[in-house]
Amino acid sequence: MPRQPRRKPKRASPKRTASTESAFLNIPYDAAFENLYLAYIAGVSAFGLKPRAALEIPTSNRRLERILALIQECKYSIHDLSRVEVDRTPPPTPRFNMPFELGLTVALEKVVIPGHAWIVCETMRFRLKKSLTDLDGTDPYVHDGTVRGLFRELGNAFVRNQNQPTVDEMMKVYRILRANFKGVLYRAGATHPFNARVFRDLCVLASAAADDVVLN
Amino acid sequence: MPQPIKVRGRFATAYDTAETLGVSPSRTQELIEAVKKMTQGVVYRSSNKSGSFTARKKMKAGSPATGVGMKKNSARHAEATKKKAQTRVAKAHR
Repeated sequence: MPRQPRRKPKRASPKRTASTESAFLNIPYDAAFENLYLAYIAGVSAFGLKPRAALEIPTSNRRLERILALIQECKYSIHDLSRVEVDRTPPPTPRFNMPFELGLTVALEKVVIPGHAWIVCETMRFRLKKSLTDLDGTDPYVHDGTVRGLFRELGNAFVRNQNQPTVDEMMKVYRILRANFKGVLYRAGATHPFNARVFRDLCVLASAAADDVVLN
Repeated sequence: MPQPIKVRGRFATAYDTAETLGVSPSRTQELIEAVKKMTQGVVYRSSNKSGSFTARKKMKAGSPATGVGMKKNSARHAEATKKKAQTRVAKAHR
C-alpha cells in the first residue's frame, strides 16, 4: 500500500487587524480659532482617528512636498474655509493656505489617492457658494463657529460601526484637552498652540481621553 | 446633505497616535496619566446606554467630603461642634 505523503500542517494565517487611520486637518492657525483648533483635535480623536496637520512640518523650502506627502498618508481630510476674509494686519491679505491645500487634496484624490475622502467645513451658510464657486455641488458642513456645532457636523460627516462618539462624549474629550492645555503650553515654553510640539502633545492627550471616554 | 463617510479602521489609541507623531514613550505615559487623573472615578458611562454620563467621585478613606456636589460643612462633625462649644464656654468663664 503506497504511503500517503504526510500533509504539511497548515500555517496559521496571520491575524488580520485593521490598521488605524489618520485625518489631515487643514485649518487656520490664529488666536481667534484656538477653541475650534482644540475642538478639531478632540473630535477627530473621538472618532478613533489620528489628527495630522501641516503644523508638524518645520518651516523650510521643502514644506510643500511634505504637505503633499502628509495628505497622501491620510485616509481623510477636513478643510475648514472659515477664514476667507481679509486679514487686518498690513498688508491686508486673505489667507490662501486653506483653499490651496484643499485644491492639492482634490487633485491628489483624482489622480493619486482615489480612496481619499475629504470634507469642507464653514462657519457661515452659503458663503462657500460665493467664495469658491468651483466647489458648486459640494455641500459644506456649517458649524457656526462653535465647538458644539463642530462636533454636531463631525457626527454628520463621519460614521463608525462601533464606538460612534456622541456630541457629549466629544465635549468631554474637549474639556479634558482644555484642562490640560495650559500645562502643555507651559511645558513647551509656547505662548500659542500652533507649533509642532504642542500639537503632538494635544493629539496624544486627546487620543488618551478618547480611549477613556469613548472606548470604556 | 452628503452621505456620511464610513470610518473602517481600528480605533486609534494614544500609543498609536504617539507613534505616528513621534512622541516619546515616557511623554506618552505622562500624558495618559494626566488624562487618567482627570477621568478616573469622575466619569462613568450610564448603564442605560443613552450616552449620558453620571458624575461620581471615588471617596478617599477618611475624607469628610463624600462626593461631587456634597457640601463640606465642618459644623456637622460632632468633634468640631464639641470643640467650638468648649471654647465658647471657656471664653465666657474668663
